[in-house]
Formats: sequence, C-alpha cells, structure tokens
Amino acid sequence: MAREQFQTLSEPMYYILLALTRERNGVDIMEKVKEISNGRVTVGPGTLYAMLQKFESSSVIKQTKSEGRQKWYIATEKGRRMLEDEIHRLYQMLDDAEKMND
Amino acid sequence: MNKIKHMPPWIGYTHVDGLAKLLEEQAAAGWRFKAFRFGLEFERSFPADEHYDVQVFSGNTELDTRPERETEEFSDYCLAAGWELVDSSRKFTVFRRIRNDAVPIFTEEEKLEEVFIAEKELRLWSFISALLIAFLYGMQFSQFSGRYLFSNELLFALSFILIMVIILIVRFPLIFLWKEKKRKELDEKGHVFFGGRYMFMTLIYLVIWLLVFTYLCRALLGGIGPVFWIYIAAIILLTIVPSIFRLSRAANEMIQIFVPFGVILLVIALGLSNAVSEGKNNPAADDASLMLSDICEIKGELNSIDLAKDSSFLGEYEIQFSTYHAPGYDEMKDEWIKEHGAAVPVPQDPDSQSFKLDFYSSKSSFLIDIIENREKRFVKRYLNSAENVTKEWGADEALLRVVGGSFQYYVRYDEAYLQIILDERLTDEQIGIVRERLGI
Repeated sequence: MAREQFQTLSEPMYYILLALTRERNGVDIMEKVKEISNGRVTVGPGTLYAMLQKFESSSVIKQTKSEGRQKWYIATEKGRRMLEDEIHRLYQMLDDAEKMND
Repeated sequence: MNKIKHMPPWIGYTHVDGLAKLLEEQAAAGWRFKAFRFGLEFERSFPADEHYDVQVFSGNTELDTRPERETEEFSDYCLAAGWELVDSSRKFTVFRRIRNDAVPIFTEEEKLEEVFIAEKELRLWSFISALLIAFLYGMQFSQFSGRYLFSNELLFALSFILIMVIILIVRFPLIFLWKEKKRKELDEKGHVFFGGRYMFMTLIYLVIWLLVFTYLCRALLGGIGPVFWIYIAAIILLTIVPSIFRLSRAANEMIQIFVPFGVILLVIALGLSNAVSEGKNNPAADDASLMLSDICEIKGELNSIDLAKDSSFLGEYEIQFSTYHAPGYDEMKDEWIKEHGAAVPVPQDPDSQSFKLDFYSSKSSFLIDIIENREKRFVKRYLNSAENVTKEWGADEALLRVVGGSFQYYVRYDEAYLQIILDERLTDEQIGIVRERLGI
C-alpha cells in the first residue's frame, strides 16, 4: 500500500523525507525544508502534519522519542530506499533531458 | 457596555472562509473572537486589523467542544508557521496570524479535500437520519391517518418534516456537485473561497425546529406537559451544556449516549404513571361531544375516559373510550387482590359499561372514503353478515354487528364516518341524540 501511494514523491514529500534522514523534531522540519531548498520549497504546517501521519502509518518514518506534545522522527529503511529510488529517478530524468539537448 | 457578546453557531464546513471573514470584520469593529461557547463568543477589544484562518481539521470529531490532544499537537506545527490557535470546536479550528510571513496552513487543494470530506460525513449522517425519520413517520402516518389529517399542528409539523427530510436527502448528493464546482474554480482561478453568510440560516433553522417541536408536542401530547419539558431538558443537555461547559470528547460522548436513554425511560415512566392515574373527575369528560350518559342510563359512575379530538382545515375527529363501574368497585378490586392474590379472578362488576366512539367528518368525501376503509380493514370480512340499519340512521350505509354482549355500529354519511361500540342496542330516539350531538 505504501509503495503504490508513494510511487512518485511530490516535492513536499521528497524534502520532508530528505530532512528526516536525520532524527528531527516534527516542528523543525518546516525550517529544515526551507533551508535545504534555499527557500524555494515551503511546507505548510497542515501539509506537514498530515504527511507525517501518512508516512508513519506506512512505516516510511518512525517516531524515535516524544517529550510532552513534541515528537521526533527519522526515516526508516523503507523510507531511505524510497528516497534513493526517487533520487535515482530524478537523475535518470536529468540524463534523459541532457541527451535530448546533445 | 457589554464586554462579552455571542453570535449564532456556525454549522456547515463549506463556509469556513465566510466564518474567517466574519471574525476579521468583528475584530475591526472592536470584538475579538474568544471561543466557541454558546455559539461564537467575542470579547470587547480595541479595533484591530487581524487575520484569521479557519481550517477543517480531520483529527477532530463532531463531538469535540474544545481543543483535544490532536488539535493541540497540530497547533504546535501551526504556531511554528506563524499561526496561533484561538479555539476549536467540532472540526473547526480557528487560527490567528501572528507573523506577517506566516506560511499557509494547507494548500488550496488540501483545504478543498478536508472541507469536502468533513461536509460529506456531516451530510451523510443527516441523510441517514432523514431516511430513518421518513420511515418512522411514514409507518406512524399509515397507522393513524385520520388523526394526522384532522390536526392543523400535525399537518404543519408533518409537512415541515417532509420538506426537511427531502432537503436533507437531496443535500447529500449535492456535495459531490459542489466539489466539482469548487475544483473548477480552483483550476481557473488558483484559489477557492469557502464563503457565504451562513449565520441567519442557522437562526432560522433553530427557530423553525423549535416551532415544529412545540406544535408536535401540543398535537401529540395534548398540551405542553411534562414530556415537552423533558425533551427541552434533553436538547439543553445534548447541545447547550457541552457548548457552555466545554466538555471533553469523552464526557460529551457519554452524554450523547446516555441522555437519549434517560429521556426514553422518563417518558415511559411518565406514560405508565399517567395510565394509572385515570381520573373519575377527568376534565376530558367536559370536552367530549357525546358521552354514554347522553344516550343511555348509567348504572355506575364514570371510571375512566380517554379522549382525543382535533380539527384542521381538512376536517375534524373525535376518538373516545370511556368505562363506567359501580361506585366503590375499584376499591373492592384492590382489597380482593390483596386478600386473594392476582391468581384468583376478581368478581365482575354487573353494572360495568363501556363506550367507544370514533368519529370523523370532512367536506371531502374522498378523505372520508380513505378513513372508512382504514377503520374497517380488520372487520370487513365480518360485515357481510352484519345487520343493515341504514334506515334507522338515515345514513348512506349503516351496519350493526353484535359480538357477545357488544353492539358495534359502522355508519357512513357523505361527509362523516363513525363507529360506536357499546353494551346495548340503540333506539331511534338514542340515534337521534347521537346525530344531534355529532352534528350529522
């Protein structure tokens, strides 16, 4: 189910997963995504909250600890493989575009 | 000057942006939104240019009257993005912008999806409730058509209920069309406004329901009696109390489950106690058009009378069942049971009499045809051998059926129908009195 749902990652999904290659507090992810993308991509709190729920229920990420209402997450093996597959796909697309230009 | 004011509650999720706009207008006028308490609660403040965003949060439920754990968790994310949670109720969450560079909470597509899902669920429950109400009232109407036709209050209430049921049933599929329309608006303009002035519809909705409820009570219960106040108390407990006291989801769930049960138990208990307290001095006897004592000699005294009568623009009806016993018979019966127990049969009262009258009149003989067929449906096969007494009654048709010691008259006039069951055969003079009293 997770594989079909996240076959191709949208930009917010990609950057959220990228940010979670290291353990992070859920609330800090918004800032990290902005930092990684040099301000190009912004993820709204509603989008982030919903995405974290979906990722966690699909075992793409897991919760590592919680303090009060604050939760920390990190990408699972499955999540890392999805990210690698997506990066590979993006490289492939870039290669194909460069071939067209040659 | 008042420091707090209230406005009617918001019901539909499809108007969340209209609610946000209302809050901004109120803030500009010096009323700052404080909480979802008894509708929308505002407190006096300096006029301010405030920005609100009202979101539909799927982590909440329809029973939420205040922010629960999920909402507070969600609000932490929004706070980091520049939005402060003001309050939440049901799936409405109200945020106030605290930074000018605040990031939108949801994308337009996501907000459309959240609003659609929440509104669809709400309308689905209304749709199912409407079907159930339609089924129950249909069953009831099919049993007591005469009473429903000849009562203005019941006709009004039933007509209104029918209209509301149709609206609730039609509204459910319309939400899918609404979504398509909003999707196109999003594709064309890149933005959707979930708006409109919903407040006055809410007020009208509440007032009309209270009117219908009052009429139903008057018509079905013969007056605004104890049961009416039980229902009012139930409505207050189910809606107003959770809103004012901001009960937790768990507490509200308990109330929503147990209050209806409590109401049913109370109403049954009241009905039973009323059944026991039949009055010898029952004021209903004064309202009856015809009493057994008007036409026959009474050997005992009036023991009990059940009377229902009403009229509408379609006609009128009167249904009565009365019993007569010898004076002191009830006390003798109680003593007998105390002494011999319930297993030993109580001696019959030789002076007991009973009287049953079902009378319907209308200018429409078509309606009287329907009522006559309905009233006769269980005895039709026996009437073939009944005695024809049409001439005595001067009617279109009058039949007499004698069963044991019971005399059952079925009499039809062009604009009236009556059934009388009593313990003796009526003479011409007695029939004349009946006709005079009933105006036929």
